[in-house]
Amino acid sequence: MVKISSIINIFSIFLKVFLGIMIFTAVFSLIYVNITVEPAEYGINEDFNIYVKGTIVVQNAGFYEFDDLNITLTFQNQYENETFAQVSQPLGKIPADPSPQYKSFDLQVPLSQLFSYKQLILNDTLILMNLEIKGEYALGLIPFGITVKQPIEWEAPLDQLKVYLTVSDYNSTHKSVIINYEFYSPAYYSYILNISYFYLQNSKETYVDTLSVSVPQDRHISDHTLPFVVPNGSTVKVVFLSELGFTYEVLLEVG
Amino acid sequence: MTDRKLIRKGVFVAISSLFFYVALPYIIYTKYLVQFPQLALESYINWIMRMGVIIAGIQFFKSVSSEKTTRQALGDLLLSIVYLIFFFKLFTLEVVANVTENVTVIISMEGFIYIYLLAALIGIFANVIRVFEVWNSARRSRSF
Repeated sequence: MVKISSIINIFSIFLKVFLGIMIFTAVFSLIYVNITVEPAEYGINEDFNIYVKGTIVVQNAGFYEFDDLNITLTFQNQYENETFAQVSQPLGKIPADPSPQYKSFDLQVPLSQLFSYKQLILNDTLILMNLEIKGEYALGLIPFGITVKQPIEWEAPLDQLKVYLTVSDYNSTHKSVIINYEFYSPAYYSYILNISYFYLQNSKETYVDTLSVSVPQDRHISDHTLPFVVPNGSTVKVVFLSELGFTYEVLLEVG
Repeated sequence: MTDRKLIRKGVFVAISSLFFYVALPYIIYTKYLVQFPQLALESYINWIMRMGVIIAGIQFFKSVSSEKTTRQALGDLLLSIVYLIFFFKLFTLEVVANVTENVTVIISMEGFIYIYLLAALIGIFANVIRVFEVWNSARRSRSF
């Protein structure tokens, strides 16, 4: 007598056999896949974006195509616990074809996005530039990822910035102030730095002046503003602003 | 089948399971896979071996029972549940290979989980029905 359990069990066995065939063909097919990431070119372009350009060469001699291929560029700190910026580019499908197939990528991250992190404005540091290729193989049954980590020396625009005031008496109610600043400029790019300064008294902000400084590459910059007069007990606000896309403020008490 | 024959069958089936799930993964790992430390497969192999001991135990329990008994049907049910856990873990594992210091490749087989889950749940359902069928037929034959 044929039992109901036997009929249901046949379905289960049929599915397991089908699964076994799928696994075998997918894994066997994967052996004939070759993915090469050609050395990527990276730098900073005239729009102040960090760019990474390159080509992926895929020789897919297996039976299945690649779906949802995607490349992601991520900037992280060296401990990989903080992501500064991330950008992705879809690369589409790669059909099963033994001839080499080329997929070019051009990823750009604005420097301003990285400058939202204070440590990247003020300190030269080691950061990781990760290039991650993600996709699915064999009808989405085998997801995979390839990560290439490239440590880079990050050159901060205001490395080791020091700002301090030289104060002298002007009269009994006012003081004469000079703002001194020094920092190390980045090794691989130059830029224009605008330094605006204000004084604050009783929550009222008064604009004083703006300096425009051309910052050359790889130098120790040390300079000061012209003297200006502020009321006793006020606070000086110095704003460092650049076309690169960063703004950094310093508040100093007039002693 | 006599009790002696059943025990002999149980021991044989248990030893076969130990060979396939314990000895064979150990041999494959120590002979071949250990040469690829970047795959970090040791913990998975240990897990397969541990599950192999459980499977061998259930196989023994099932095989020492006579055909078409509740105990054998329960053994089948238990075995299908253990296999579900075993393959679920196997398909969810991500093989992380550090090809070089800066290049990492991650491959997973999680896409197969859904087909296996369907097959395994149908199998478990069939085994649950079988337990009732066997139990019912035993009850009826007792009443006759």
